[in-house]
Amino acid sequence: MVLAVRSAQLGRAKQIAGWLAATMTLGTVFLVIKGFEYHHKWVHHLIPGEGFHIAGTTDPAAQTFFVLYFCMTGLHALHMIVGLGLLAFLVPKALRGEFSAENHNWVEGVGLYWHFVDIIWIFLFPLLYLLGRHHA
Amino acid sequence: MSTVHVTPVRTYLLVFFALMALTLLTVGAAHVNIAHHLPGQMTDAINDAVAMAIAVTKATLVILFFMGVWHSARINKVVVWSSFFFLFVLFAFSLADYFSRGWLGVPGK
Repeated sequence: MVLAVRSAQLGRAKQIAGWLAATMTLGTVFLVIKGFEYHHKWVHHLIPGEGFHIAGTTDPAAQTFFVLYFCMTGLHALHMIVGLGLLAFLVPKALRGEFSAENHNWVEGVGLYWHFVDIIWIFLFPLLYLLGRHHA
Repeated sequence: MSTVHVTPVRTYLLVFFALMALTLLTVGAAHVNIAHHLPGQMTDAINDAVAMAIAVTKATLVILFFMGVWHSARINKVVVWSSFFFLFVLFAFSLADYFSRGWLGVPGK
């Protein structure tokens, strides 16, 4: 993403589109991995509700954790889908040469949004996947 | 936007690799019971504190370089850091409730 912004600052239209597409590819890979992860949770009865079941615990906190897990990762995925939509909107604009060194606020703005979503994941990853792991 | 600073690719690569290294570090640190390796009576919370300290470091790198705050005007820096400061204040107030809830006995609980 930053390399797309950099290309925009230098007014290199084709490069902007290339880096935006690269960002979209990596973003999509992330969402596909999330999809497999959700499917895995489904298969193992980890969706909160009637069918929820973890071997060896009846602690209601376990369900609370998975409610938080799905809300947080789901909202993050939604943010990413919005981001991918914005990137998809910018690629043809970049290819048409609409951005230049003097006019690329769209690229800068979407870049800021994308990195904001990035920061959310920097905090969600340790909170949801790592804390408490040293007990296991 | 004509006086915009163009950061060299090298800087972005360095930041990227630093972020990756910190990700590995936080995953590694999560598997170690840090309190066992320190002298004195440390609580388990030290692991959580280390994970969050690494996350804050990573977020700072993203804000400074990927969001371009490092090379932006002083007024932008004031806005960005004061925003994060107040976000932190809001989190602190919320967490103060969670941490202190068990301190007083609640009748009927």
